[in-house]
Amino acid sequence: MAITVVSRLAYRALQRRLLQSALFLFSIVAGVALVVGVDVAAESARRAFALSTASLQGNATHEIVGGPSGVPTSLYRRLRTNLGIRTAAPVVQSTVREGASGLALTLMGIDPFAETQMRQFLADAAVSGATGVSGQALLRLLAEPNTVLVSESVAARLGVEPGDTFELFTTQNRETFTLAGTIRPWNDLSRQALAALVIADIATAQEFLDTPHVLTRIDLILTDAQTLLEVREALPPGVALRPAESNRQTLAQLSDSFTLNLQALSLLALVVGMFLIYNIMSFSVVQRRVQIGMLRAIGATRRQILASILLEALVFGVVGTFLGVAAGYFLGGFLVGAVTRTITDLYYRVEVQVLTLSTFTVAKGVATGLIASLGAALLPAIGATRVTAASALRSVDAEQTTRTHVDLAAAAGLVVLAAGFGLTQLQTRSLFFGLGALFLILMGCILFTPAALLLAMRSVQPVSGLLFGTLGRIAPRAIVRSLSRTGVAVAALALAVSVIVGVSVMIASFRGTVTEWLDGALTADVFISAPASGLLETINIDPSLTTLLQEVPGVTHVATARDVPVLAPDYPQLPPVNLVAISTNPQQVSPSRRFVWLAVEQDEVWEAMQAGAIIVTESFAYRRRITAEDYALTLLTDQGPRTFPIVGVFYHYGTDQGIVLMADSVYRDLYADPWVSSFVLFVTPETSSESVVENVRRLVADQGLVVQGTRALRTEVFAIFDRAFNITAALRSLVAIVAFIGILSALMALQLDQKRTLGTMRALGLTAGQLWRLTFLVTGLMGLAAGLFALPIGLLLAKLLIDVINVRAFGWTFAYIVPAGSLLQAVLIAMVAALLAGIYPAWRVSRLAPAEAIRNE
Amino acid sequence: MSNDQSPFVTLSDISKYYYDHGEQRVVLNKVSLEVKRGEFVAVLGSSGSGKTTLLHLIGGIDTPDDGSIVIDGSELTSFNDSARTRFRRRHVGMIFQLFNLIPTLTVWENVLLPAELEGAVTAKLRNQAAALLERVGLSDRRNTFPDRLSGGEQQRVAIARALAHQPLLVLADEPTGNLDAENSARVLSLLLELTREAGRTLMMATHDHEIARQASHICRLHGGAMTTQPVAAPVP
Repeated sequence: MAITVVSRLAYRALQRRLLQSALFLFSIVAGVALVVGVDVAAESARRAFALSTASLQGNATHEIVGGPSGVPTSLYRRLRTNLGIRTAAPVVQSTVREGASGLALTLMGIDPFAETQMRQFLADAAVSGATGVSGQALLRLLAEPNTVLVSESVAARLGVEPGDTFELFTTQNRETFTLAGTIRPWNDLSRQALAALVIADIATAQEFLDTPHVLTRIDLILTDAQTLLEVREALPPGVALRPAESNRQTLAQLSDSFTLNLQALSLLALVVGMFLIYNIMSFSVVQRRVQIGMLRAIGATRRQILASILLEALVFGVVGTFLGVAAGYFLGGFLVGAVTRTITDLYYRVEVQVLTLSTFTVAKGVATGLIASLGAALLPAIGATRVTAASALRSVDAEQTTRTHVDLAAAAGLVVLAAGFGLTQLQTRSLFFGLGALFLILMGCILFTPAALLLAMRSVQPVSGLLFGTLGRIAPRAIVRSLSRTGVAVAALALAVSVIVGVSVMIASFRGTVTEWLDGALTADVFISAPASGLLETINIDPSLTTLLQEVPGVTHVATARDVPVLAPDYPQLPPVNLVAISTNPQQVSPSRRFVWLAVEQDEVWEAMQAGAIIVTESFAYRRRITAEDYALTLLTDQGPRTFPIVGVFYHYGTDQGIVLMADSVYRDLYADPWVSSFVLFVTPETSSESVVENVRRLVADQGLVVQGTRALRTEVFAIFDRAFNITAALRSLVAIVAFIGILSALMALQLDQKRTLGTMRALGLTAGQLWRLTFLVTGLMGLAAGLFALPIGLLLAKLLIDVINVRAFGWTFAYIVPAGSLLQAVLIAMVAALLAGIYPAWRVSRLAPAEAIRNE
Repeated sequence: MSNDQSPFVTLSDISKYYYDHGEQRVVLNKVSLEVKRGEFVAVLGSSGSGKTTLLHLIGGIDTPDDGSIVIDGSELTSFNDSARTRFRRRHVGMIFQLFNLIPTLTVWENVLLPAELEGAVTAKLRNQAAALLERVGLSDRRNTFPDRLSGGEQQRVAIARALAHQPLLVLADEPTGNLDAENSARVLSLLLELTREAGRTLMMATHDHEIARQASHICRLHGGAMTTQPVAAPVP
């Protein structure tokens, strides 16, 4: 078949252009690997969380949960005796820490008798203990006081064996436990479930956690509607029955915005990779122009030419995608640490035991890889079909057609830009549409690049000619002459640098806003809390500590905060509300707190709160569509659902899930909850907060509390902030690397393209040194152009990230801060990238034997 | 500088080999030649006989594997690449079969290129270059880019470029090989006229025996060996 001949020619051409082929493969591998890697990391974290939540819930179809006061043990008894429900299992669950290592673990108190139908991984667990292997090991927890079970891996991490003792502590208690046995996980599910679990008898857990007669939840297997109704009717106020599945879903979505943003950034890398593929394919077509013309002359059809080019791209696409998926899996392994760290910092504690490569991720990787390679090759392939025998053999300058493409690209850019801006105007809160708009606007800007490059090079020519003489005149013209390659390379570099500018400005703006916010928020002098363990954990500290703290020399005032998750019946699809009950006027703690809107005067806020009103954060209001016109929130209290008027929405950047501030007195009236979660201390002006910190640390030495001065807390906040953006920064660098490869391949192409011209110039007396200078002039100009083009695009990108993406993802608005240094840095990065990319081509060109270059004419 | 009677170009036993998949192919085998100042030497030979290689070696854009090349007292073969390049742009003018104008430079910039690379563009040189463009009939096209010129026009620009910096030696590699008869004649007469007027030494590779007849000496290349004969002898 003729296609076989054409393909054979393509294969031979590839053999001769190994470097180009390698770069082609690299662009697909890098793009696909990033998409798959980020997905693997995010999906593994999500699955780990879902698995551990699901396995801890076991076969439960429903769960009964309470607010801060928990679920009374008496309810469990009533369910079993009065309603005769046998498929119910009580659970006490809390985060505890191991004495020596401080390792955070989940203590789960269970009733071994109730577990047989509920949690298979516990009921069936083969436990190796001091007395050998037993399937009944759970019962041993009942027989011996203060005994616990952990998985073999947790035992190994703690360095204990069955029969050994180890210490666990909470903010109240410190207790020594005996390891009754170790559980060997037998599949991924049980491995994930047991990852950081300490299992104890329910009474042991209640005693240790100081919560007698209180359960965290009751898990239920309820299959008929009648029983469901009966259970619902038996519930006291303050507790709620909800499907187990909905709980899993609402919790897992906490980190959705974070991971979606990462995925968007990884897609951007793929887009840069597509530019690369386009560049390489179009060059490959230009190189084979005469050959294609000859083939057309002797009878090859357009379709055969198109098929052969696309087949070539497909072969690369398949190989690159395969390698990319494999590389992505490994990359995911590296990224998962950073992703889980941030998710743990910001949302919930998660440990990934097994990397997840879902079918969906593989399908996504394969689809993006193939679509990217075929999509990017399509235009050059169509271009190849337009080559006629006559034009190829007449040596008509292929670049002439490029000029018309420049106009077309600019026109397309306008359309794409308009579509992007149109999308931003849609009345939607969809982050997906927001990111879509962002992509379109970026692409629209990038499509203008070749036209802008043409204009810029024509304008710069007189200046560069004056500065660098003939070489200065040749360089911009060489760029214009090979616009099909240089235009795409500059576009790819401009895209990468604009991402750097955009993300840098966004991070700087965010950081600046958070700094300003912290300056206003951290007016107290000393902060006391438990180690951070995510949004979902409740920290119980004995309130009697307040009196002791007040006696610390230099302390003028102690304020407490109670931080608890509370159910909001009107928003079942959203995670529980983070309710913070404060004992002191918030204006005293943060006098410069800024409000989005206030329904009362600022100095009347505390008064209103003491009368039962609440104030909420901006992101909280955004997620629940709370506006100045619609300002009430219903929360589940111990006395049943209660509606609170909202008198203000304030700026707060502590959590994107948002918080609700309530006066402590109101909270205590509604919840039978004796605990507090944190303290803030105010000290006299003449007292150093460091000395108070030292004194308080001595006071709470055995409670595992974290005592920090303002500076330390600030440092910690920014450490979390920086960690959250670590991956973003890493992905940003990877985008830049892909763009670097892009410009390198373009320069290689340019060099091949101009071999004859350069050979002639060498023959006419251009020294090797001058050749280096010429190459660097070309690359420097390309880098400078890319850097300068990237500035407005990057600033626009930052604006969109701040005004559209962050608002939709996190519900935050923040100031637009443009650090001049980072703009200059971006231009420098572009130039340095281009100049570095020029080294290898320049070296190759300098070794070019003029005789050979001319002979190959 | 040598006097007029001493050889201006001396090739002594130069050899050049190419390697094709590890196999050695002899292009020039111990070729010796002496050319006097102001002479026009035609190098005849079939395709692949080594004409272009010979000109490239004399121009210093390639180096022989054996033997020495001395031009106007300077031993080219003892120079490194940089020195050869500088020698070339000062003392050699080159004309190629496919014109090889720099597509990103205008006619005028192409003509001045060797002097520009040397950093030796003076008012006098500009005047000479302008006069040369006038002589080749392209002074009205000085701001035109090469792709707007016909083949004949491009080769005339190439002649102006080869002569503008006043080289001692002009090497022309089949300068009319890509032109029609009319343009060939015009280009050739211009080239001969301009080199003779300035007393430059011209070495031209060609297939064309008619052109060769106008030379003072003819060198024939065959099988890597060279024979030389004065033009007085009839060319078969």
